[in-house]
Amino acid sequence: MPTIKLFGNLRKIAGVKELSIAPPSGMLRSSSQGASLGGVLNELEKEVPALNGVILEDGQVRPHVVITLNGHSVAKLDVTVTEKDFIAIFPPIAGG
Amino acid sequence: MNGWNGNILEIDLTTQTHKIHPLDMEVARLFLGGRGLGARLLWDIVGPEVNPLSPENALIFTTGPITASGSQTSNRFNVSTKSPLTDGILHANSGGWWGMQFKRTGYDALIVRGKADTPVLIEITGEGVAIKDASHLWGKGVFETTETLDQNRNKRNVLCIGPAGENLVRIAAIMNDKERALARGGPGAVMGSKNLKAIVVEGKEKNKPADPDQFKFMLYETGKLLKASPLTSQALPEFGTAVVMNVVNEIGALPTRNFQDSQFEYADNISGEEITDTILVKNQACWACPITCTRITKTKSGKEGEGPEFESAWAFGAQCGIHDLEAITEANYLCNDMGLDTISMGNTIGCAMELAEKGLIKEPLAFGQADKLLGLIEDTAHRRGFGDELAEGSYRMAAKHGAPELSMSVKKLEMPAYDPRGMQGQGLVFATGNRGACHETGNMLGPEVLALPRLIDRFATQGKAGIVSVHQNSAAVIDSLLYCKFANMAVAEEFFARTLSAITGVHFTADDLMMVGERVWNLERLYNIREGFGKADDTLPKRMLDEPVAEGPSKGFTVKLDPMLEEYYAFRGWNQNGVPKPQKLKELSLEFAIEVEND
Repeated sequence: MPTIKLFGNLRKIAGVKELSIAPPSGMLRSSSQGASLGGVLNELEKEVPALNGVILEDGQVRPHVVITLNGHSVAKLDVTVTEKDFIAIFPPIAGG
Repeated sequence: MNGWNGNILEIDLTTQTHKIHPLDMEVARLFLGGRGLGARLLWDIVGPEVNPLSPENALIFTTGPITASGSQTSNRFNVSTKSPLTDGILHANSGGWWGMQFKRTGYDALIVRGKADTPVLIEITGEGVAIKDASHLWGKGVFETTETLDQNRNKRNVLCIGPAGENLVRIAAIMNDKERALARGGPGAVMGSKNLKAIVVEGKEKNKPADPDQFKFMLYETGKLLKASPLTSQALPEFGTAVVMNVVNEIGALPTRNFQDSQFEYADNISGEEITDTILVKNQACWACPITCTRITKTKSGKEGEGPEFESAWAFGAQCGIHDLEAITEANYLCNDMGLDTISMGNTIGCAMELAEKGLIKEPLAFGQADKLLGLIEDTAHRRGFGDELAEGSYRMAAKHGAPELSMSVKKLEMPAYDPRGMQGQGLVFATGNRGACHETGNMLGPEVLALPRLIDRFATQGKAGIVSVHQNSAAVIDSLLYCKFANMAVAEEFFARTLSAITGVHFTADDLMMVGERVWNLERLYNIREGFGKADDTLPKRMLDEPVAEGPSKGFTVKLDPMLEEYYAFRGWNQNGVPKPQKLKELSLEFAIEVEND
């Protein structure tokens, strides 16, 4: 199960800092390749309804939301996610 | 003309006299104010023969045409001088209230020259300009000095130095409104070298717009944008600047233990989220700012103050291998009271920790020693014991012990909280920074990490030169207008141009503003060339160029600087040695500086 780490106000919305999501088997592209990132995020919204519309909007990542997969920013939802992966989700943030 | 007062106040502390010069309105049109006007004045006043800590150096405080207008974030001001840390051009700006109040005294800029025989303070009020004895304040901290001089947020504002500035610490800040800082590059030491403890201002002049109706419309439109953006209406108010700690760490670009690692295992313990959950008391805003990003915090020991901001939390945190947020916060408070730049202080302590762990100095220091922070800061401010070495900044300290390569600095200014091996464009920003390694003069966090305005490949080098140049020019014009850079996250240059036009009655476009930014950047570059800087100074610490990141998402990367630099010089219209070509200077109305190019 990929691990999802939440930051900023997503922690308060979800009530957790970190959780694991098990994509339904039908979502798996193959047992060895894993699921799509979009599929995992859809599953996350089902498991934590409070996140509905917070991360995704019309099937796309909402503006200013930053998602990294194992530390690398991802812009597309069709990237493959495997069980050992770490997904970090940041709401709109600024600073520096 | 509206927007500018049209007056520059010059004070000579040696002769204890002052005079008022008219502001050249052509200079105002070309450089606007703030950092731009400061650079233009410094060019004429402080030449290459001047030692930064001599009476011949000048402190030039500048405001901009929008300052005190009431436009959102129109509270900032700038100081320009020759840096005692880098020996090059220095500009630093700060928020709060002092800038607004100084503009209301009827001046656009204040030039302080010379040196008083004994400690003095300057008071600028409706009664005039007075130079007063400040012997009773010498040695006092910033907090006590500010209170003693009757700081009154909207009526009377105090700018001062602490013991660090008095003791000519090269990383000393000038503080205003108690806890705001003109921090980087040692302007506090320049002020201390003049025996100038404080500048107190009280003013009543209004910055009235030339077109009140259009100005009101722009206030409304700008307010809408700031409210609509989740960055300025939610993220910054809720979590402050340190909310970026985790994302910078997650991608493997958070410098850790003097940049030996690029991820800190305890980053979350020192993040904006943790600050909000544990020590935050309330938010605070600078004058005329709806963003309210300032954090008023309180530690378990009962101490209360501002911060820490992201950079300060990193400097005393990951950079020193420390994850005790209370200790970090109190280190931040103490730096504010002593008048020290938190980035350079924390970075220099981290450098000392590595020197000690490698056996290059005999101090009992090691990464993770939270209990050492306060003592080291106090000793630095007073130049006591080993603090006398820390007071020189990391480069001079490390060089003294035969290891200058362990100083994580550029042009001797300590690097801020980004490991450029994981952000190649940021590496180019640091290497080419006119005041040294600086995140305020073209930060690539937006495009390389936060997808602002859109995500670009942080490991790519090709094409970065143009993006970096545009970001640098944009930062230069915002620093010349003296808007807050956070406002620029929601409000584009076009809106700044329209507000500026409404205030001054002079038509400015966004392109005009970007041209000002490029002009300012080139003039600063020429100033440094006149000081003897060259291509060899556009570099990074050896570690960034030769030591690949060992672990994490940036594993295996170094900064590929040379190809980016070559592309950068070409994009900027400079020759292969990084000197602006005469044609470029003519385009930018900088003909007066062509002689430097010919030298």
